[in-house]
Order: sequence, then C-alpha cells, then structure tokens
Amino acid sequence: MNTFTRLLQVELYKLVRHPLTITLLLLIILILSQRLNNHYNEIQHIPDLMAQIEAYQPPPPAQALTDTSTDASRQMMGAFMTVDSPHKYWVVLTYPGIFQQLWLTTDWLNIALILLAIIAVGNEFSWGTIRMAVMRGLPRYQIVLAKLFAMATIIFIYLIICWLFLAVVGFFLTDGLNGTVSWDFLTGSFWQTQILGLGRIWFYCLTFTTFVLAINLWIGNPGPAFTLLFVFYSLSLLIYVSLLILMTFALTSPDFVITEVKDSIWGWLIVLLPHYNGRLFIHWANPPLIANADFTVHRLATFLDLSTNPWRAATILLSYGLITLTLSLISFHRREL
Amino acid sequence: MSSSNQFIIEADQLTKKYKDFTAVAPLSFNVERGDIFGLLGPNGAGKTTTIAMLLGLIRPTAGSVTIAGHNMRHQAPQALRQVGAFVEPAFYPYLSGRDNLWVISQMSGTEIPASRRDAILDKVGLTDRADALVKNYSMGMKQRLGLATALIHDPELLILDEPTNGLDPAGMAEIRQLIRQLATEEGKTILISSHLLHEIEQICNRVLILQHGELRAQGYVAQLLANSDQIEIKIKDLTAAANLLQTLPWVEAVLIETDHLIVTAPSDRAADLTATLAQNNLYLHGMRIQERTLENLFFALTTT
Repeated sequence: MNTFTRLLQVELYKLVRHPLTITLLLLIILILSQRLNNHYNEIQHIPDLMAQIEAYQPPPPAQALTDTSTDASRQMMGAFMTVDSPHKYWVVLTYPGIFQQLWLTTDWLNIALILLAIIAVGNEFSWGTIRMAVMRGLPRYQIVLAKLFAMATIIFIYLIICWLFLAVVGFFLTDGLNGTVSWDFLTGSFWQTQILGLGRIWFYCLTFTTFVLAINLWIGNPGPAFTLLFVFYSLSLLIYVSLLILMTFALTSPDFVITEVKDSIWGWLIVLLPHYNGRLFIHWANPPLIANADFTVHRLATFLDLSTNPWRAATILLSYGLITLTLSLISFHRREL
Repeated sequence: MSSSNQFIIEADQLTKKYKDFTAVAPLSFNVERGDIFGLLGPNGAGKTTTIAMLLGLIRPTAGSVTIAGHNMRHQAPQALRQVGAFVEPAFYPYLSGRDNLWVISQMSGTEIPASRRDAILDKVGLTDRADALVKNYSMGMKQRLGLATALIHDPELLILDEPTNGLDPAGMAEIRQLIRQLATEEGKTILISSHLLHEIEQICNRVLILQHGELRAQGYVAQLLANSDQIEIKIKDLTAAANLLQTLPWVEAVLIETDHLIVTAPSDRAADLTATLAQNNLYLHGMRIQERTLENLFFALTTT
C-alpha cells in the first residue's frame, strides 16, 4: 500500500468514526422522509389538489407563439409562470419519479460538507493533529488531496444510501397510491438516468468540497471557518434565489420583448450559469415563488432555444473546482504550522 | 567518519524573521549521533521556532537544516522519516489511545504491526488505558501517548518538546529513565527541549542555550560546568570589591547582590581572589564556593 492510499484510508477512518458523520446522514434521511410525508399528506388530504391532478392538461407547446410584441411577450411569460406541478406530486411519490427527490438532498449534502470539512480540516488545526501528518514527512499536497477524496467518498456514500432509502420507500408508496407496483420502468435508460443523476449531484458536491476545503485551510480555525462558510452558503442561496426572482420580474416589465432576451445580460446568465446548463433546477416542491421563477427561466431558455449544454456546466464547475483546489494546495504549502 | 555520518542534525545559519522581529538569529549547531541534546532558553527564546524549523512546520527565512544527510528543503519526506517528534499532545479526542496510535502509525510510511503498537503502549505505561477515549485522558497520559507516537516507527532521532510536562514526579522520573534507556540501549539520538533545568542536566550530554533568538552557549554539559564556579563573597565595600575583581582576567562575571557579591570564576582561584582583595585593603567577612549547576549557568547567561 503506498503512502497516499494509507493516508486516504486514515482520513476515511477518522471521518467514519466521528459521531457527527452518522448523525448528518440520519438527518438527511429524516429531511427526505419529512418531504415525502408532506407530499403524501397533500395528495391524501387535499381534495382540491386531487381535482387539479385529474383536470391537469399540459400547457401548449411554447413554439406556437409567433407574435413577439410586448403584450404577447407578457402573455407568454404568464404561461411560463403557470404552475403545472400538481400532477407531479403523484410522480415524485411513485416509481420511477421518486428518485427525483434525490435532488432535494443537494442542499443538505452541501451543509453536511461544511460540517465534514470542519471535522476533516478545521478541527485538525485546533487540535494540532494537522502537524502530526506534516511532521511524519507526508507531502502536503497529499494531505490536502486525501482530505478532499475522503470527503467526496463520504458524500458519495450518503448519496447511495439516500438512493436506496428512496428505492425502499418508493416501493411502499407506489404500491399504496397505484394499488400495484409495475417494474416496467427498470430499463437500460432508467439505470443510465440514475447513474448520470447520481454522478451529477456528486460532481456538484465535489466542486463545493474544494471550496469548503479551501476556506478551512485558509482560515485554519474551525469556529470562524464554519461561520464564514455558513454566511457564504446562505448568501449564495439568497443571491441565487434573488437572481431568479429578479429575472422573472425583469422579463415581465412593461417594455419587455421576449425575443430580446437572447442577446441581453439575462440571456448570457442563462447560458453561463451551470445551474441551467446542467438542468439543475430547483425542485418544483420548493416554495411556489421560487419554483415558479425557476421553471419560468427554464421554459424561457427552451423557448428561446438558448443552448443549455450540460458539458458547459461540467466545464464551468470543473474550472471552479480546479481553481479552488489549486488555491488550497498553494495556501497549505505555504502555511506555517 | 564523514560529517553526515557523525551528525544527525546539521543546522547552518538557521534564521527566522517575522517582518522586523527576529525569532531566531542565524543559528548553527550540530547534533551528533547518540547525543542527548538539550535545548534550553526562557519563554520566547526561540526554542519552539527552532524545533518547528527542524520539523518542516515552518519555513526558515535563511539557512538550512540537514537531517540524517537529507536536506530539509529538498528532501523533507526522507529526512522526517528518520524523526520521531513530539511537539505538543495533539490527538483525535473521539478516538481511543490505541486508535490514535494506529492513525499515526499509518502516516509513518511503513507497515507497523499491531504487536509493535502494543509493545510501545506497554513501554510508555498505557496498556491499561489504551482503549479509553483520549478525551478522557489526563495530561500525563496524553504526554505518554505523545511519546508513543514519536517512537512507533522506531526512528533514529527523537525530537521531544517538554516531554515531562504535566507528569507527576514519579512519571517524570519514569520518562527520564525511558529517555536514557532509549539513548543507551537502543542508540537513539534525542533532542529535548525543557524548562526543567535539573532534568536537562540529569539526562543530556550536550546543551544549547538560547535567549531572544540568539545563541548564548552550546557544548558538552560537563565542559560548560567545569569552566567556572560561583564564589559568594561577603565584604563591607561591595562596589569597590566588584570594581577590583572585574579587572582580573580569570573572573568571568561579578554580580552585586544585597549584602554579597557573586563572582563567577574557577574555584581553584579562591585563594588568589582573597589575596587580591587583601592587597587592596578589602577584607572578607565570609566566602562560600558554589559548584556550578546548569541552573546557575543558565541564569548567568540569560539574566541580562
């Protein structure tokens, strides 16, 4: 076994043995359960919702619009903003739609990552244990990479456990709501979608891992690092949500002409943000305003035929991850312990 | 014997500066294989900074360190694999002592069998509490575990910073005994930093004394102590006597206390000292020769 493998084994062992690691997993599963329970109760106990589900007709294809005047544009945006979610309550409680719920874990996995980074890096500074590895002559870049891979591995294990949890719960819910479970969905394309979906969430978390690692290595103190990361994360969510809402309001202003969006700053934002390119939209089950804004932008992007390339999203995330990882390696290499 | 074979540590003009503050002024010293080398100095003297530079924890502003023939700047991993270091008790509180030792042993670059870990725990007297969580350890137990982590990969050189800190007198004696044993029976070279001067005097054969980041003295303990003793003189006119004695070439220092003088000079010159004073009409009321200890040498060098 080479030095790096041994170091990675140690980092995983330390994380797995920490009581917070299992607590975080249980909390994520608890949150998922609570979401499923809420949706189930809404379907079972809200007659109006059942009526909406039965009466639901998908909106007409956006491509039908030929009039690009201001009025028509507003009308179009209005159509985009229509919530077509009720039927999806059913979808995301039964096979195979239930696996979409995995997207909901992303935010919680990121919060878990903030705490895992405090265990893996921040605490090591306060306990002085980070010195032990350096004093043993281990190359500093290997110490940083072992911590990154260990956190990424733990997040991957979290994801797999959440997926298995959804698979088990989905069996009972599908049976209860449909009266029977059909296994027809278990095709090659289903597995392909699941693997790509898991990979995409994990990749998204991986880039965030490089960020939490960089902040912890830079600050070198668990308390301030936690505070800073939490503030950053809250702000990023706020900016992200605000951006969607602002975009929706801007698009519905009196002078708005829908076809002009493509060459405006909003068009560039849609094209450049990994969120849209990766189709990582906020789940429809989130608060209606956010969900509507999110869906609106997606529908708009589709209507305007904006290129939303997942590989572009991957490249942007990868660049972000590599830049923050490089900064981490430089900062730890120069750091005096 | 070539210098790299003779010396396990070679520090050449080792310097650490933080902007305008010099933590360690250019410092050169060598530690020979088999030495028990003491690093002494008051708080803020630069001992910890020197140790941190030896261990690659901080980067020297200038100068170089070679450990076991490997230059720390270019071959730090190879150099540090020869070193077992204990700087401060630093462990994972949620793991047991045995698990902590496993974690550290995994970082050592070689496969260390469980039997070796058990033997080391036994050597430092922790077998009974090895499975208890470290967060429940006393300071003394943490010190013992720290020593175990330094020894686990059987290094040639041990660098120990205050290894007996927090131990009771019996524990301190036990650790001192263990350090001696490691040097004499296992041939380890040991660099030890401590505030406990009598401890250093008891176990070290060579010392280096630092103050304000500058070297004050270094050499074999026996030689440093053989050079001069302290002679306490009671006399009426302290100032006149001090002025006279300071002119004598074999007097190292004269210190005026409340009612006596402390003269640093070889004890076999006591008769010459009495005669010189008498020739100048200065008559003694009393005289006491104190053999020099590391403690009074230390204070003589650092009380300035």
